[in-house]
Amino acid sequence: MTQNSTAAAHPDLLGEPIYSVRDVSRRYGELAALDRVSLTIARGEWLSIVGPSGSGKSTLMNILGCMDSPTDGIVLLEGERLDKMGEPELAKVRRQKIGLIFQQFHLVQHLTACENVMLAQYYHSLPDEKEALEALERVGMAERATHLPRELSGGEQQRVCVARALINHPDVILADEPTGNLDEVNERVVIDFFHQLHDDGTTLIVVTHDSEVAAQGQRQIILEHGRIVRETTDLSNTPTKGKPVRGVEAR
Amino acid sequence: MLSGLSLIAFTVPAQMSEELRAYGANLVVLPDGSQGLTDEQLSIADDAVGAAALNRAPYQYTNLLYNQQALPVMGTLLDDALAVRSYWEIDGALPTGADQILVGENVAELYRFDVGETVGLTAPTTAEGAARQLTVTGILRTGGAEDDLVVMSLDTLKEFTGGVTEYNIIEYSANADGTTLTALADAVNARDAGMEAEVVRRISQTESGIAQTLQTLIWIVSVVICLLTMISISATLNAIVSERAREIGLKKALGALSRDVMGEFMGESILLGLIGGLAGVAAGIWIANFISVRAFAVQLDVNWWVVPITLVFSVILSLAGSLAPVRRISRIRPVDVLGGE
Ligand SMILES: Nc1ncnc2c1ncn2[C@@H]1O[C@H](COP(=O)(O)OP(=O)(O)O)[C@@H](O)[C@H]1O
Ligand SMILES: [Mg+2]
Repeated sequence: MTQNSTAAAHPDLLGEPIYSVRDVSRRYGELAALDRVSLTIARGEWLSIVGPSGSGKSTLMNILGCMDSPTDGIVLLEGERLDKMGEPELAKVRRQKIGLIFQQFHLVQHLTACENVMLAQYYHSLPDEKEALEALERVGMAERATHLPRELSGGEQQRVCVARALINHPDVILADEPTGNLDEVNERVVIDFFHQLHDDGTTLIVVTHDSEVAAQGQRQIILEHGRIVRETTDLSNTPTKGKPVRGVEAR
Repeated sequence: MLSGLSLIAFTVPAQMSEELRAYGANLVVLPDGSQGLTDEQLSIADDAVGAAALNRAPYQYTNLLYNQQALPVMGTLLDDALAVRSYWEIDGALPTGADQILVGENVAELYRFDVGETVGLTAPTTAEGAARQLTVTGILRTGGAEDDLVVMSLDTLKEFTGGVTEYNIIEYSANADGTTLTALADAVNARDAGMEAEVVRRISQTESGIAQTLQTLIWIVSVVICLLTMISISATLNAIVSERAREIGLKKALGALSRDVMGEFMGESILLGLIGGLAGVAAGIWIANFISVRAFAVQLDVNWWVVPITLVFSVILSLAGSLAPVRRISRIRPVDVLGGE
């Protein structure tokens, strides 16, 4: 375990970098939602982003997720300059490399679970019902494939969202407060899927203010006022299956 | 709605001007006194009008009895009358023989006369009441006074009147207008032969005026309706875009380009336009027909071109209406609509 206020990462310990963030700021007028943040994220890493409300977690997430661009600084994803890209190029990166999971689920209300998963396929390549059903089966939602979101519980909806996020085999899955609207049982279910994905080599970036969820990752960065104020690494969280949830080790 | 209006806009003025032109008599000659006009007077009038007469027909009106009821009858030279009154529509055929007649639409309806039926008519003066059996060869539809008449040739009418032919009116369709026409009337009157010629202020002179005003009015109404439709399409789509902002943001987050989502909306809009257009054409034709029959007494000839034109038009309209709302789609950013805890 390391504590590091300069926010230097450990790419060498975790492997080749997938993201390199250099001196990135995101300003809204006078307010700097992100203030000269530097960060390296390794391929296959599970990174937790924690911090109080308004500290810039979502802002950082949106920049990493190609949904927002920094005001200053450099963001590289697999060697490509995200900060230089326009919307169409960013959309292409989102489509090809990124899976998103939201606190509010954001399922299309008039589409069934299966169609919601296929929607991600549609913009990525081609809808394939069989594949979509397999993904739903993986999250234990195969029997609910024809249900509309409003007929599903929050936990079930988030499982559909996990299926939607993994359907196109993204390099990175970004989740902003994925368990924020879930009870403990469903939180566990979602975390177990994250462990599976992590074991499969997917890079996971999870924003959370739940310390237990945060502790699942190999590394935590703690944001305050748009800056990384602390960083903890727990390399014992290496990808192995069926691992129990650990207690909080940092802080 | 639109297609109905455009149907009326296109069809009614077209039919109307034809119709108005069809009231072709522009010069009529009437008896000076209560006596009818004789053949001699007819030839004097013909002589006076001369070569300017394109068509001419004399008419004799009287009443005959059908089952003891008076039935107004018009005798004329059928071919000539048809030439002058080209607006006559006959279901069936013109009489060719002496015992054949046309019956006006209303008469046919009142007495349930059909083509091919025989009708027994008697002259009011013959006391013994031996009816002459006449065959109906056609139903006459004019939208005018003839609908209430039995129409027959002068020869047939002679059988009832005892050979007396007295014309109540002679109609000329003269190839002249304005002052030339007045000169023709003066020429007839100058013969001083107990008859009086009058220039008919031919409706076709005012025809273009009425029809054009009507058409302009319909065009203005159409344009206003188009604008209103566009505004309402625009407002509706705007509301839909706002309502679905999250869905749009989500699609973009999933990697959709603005133009993908815009395309989907445009597609929906086109589809709605087509459906609306089809419903509009159907309703429009029905309404237009209703209006035409009621207000103009014209059975609408549906111009089937209206259907594709309306469809194309409603698609263009819905596309034009969706342009502004759809452009908003490109400004919706996933972060703005998907954030929030
Ligand atoms: N679109 C925006 N316009 C103005 N300020 C914003 C906008 N988005 C976020 N902010 C501000 O940036 C800061 C960081 O926000 P955010 O990244 O959402 O925080 P967190 O997710 O950690 O709660 C907050 O102070 C927030 O008010
Ligand atoms: Mg947030």
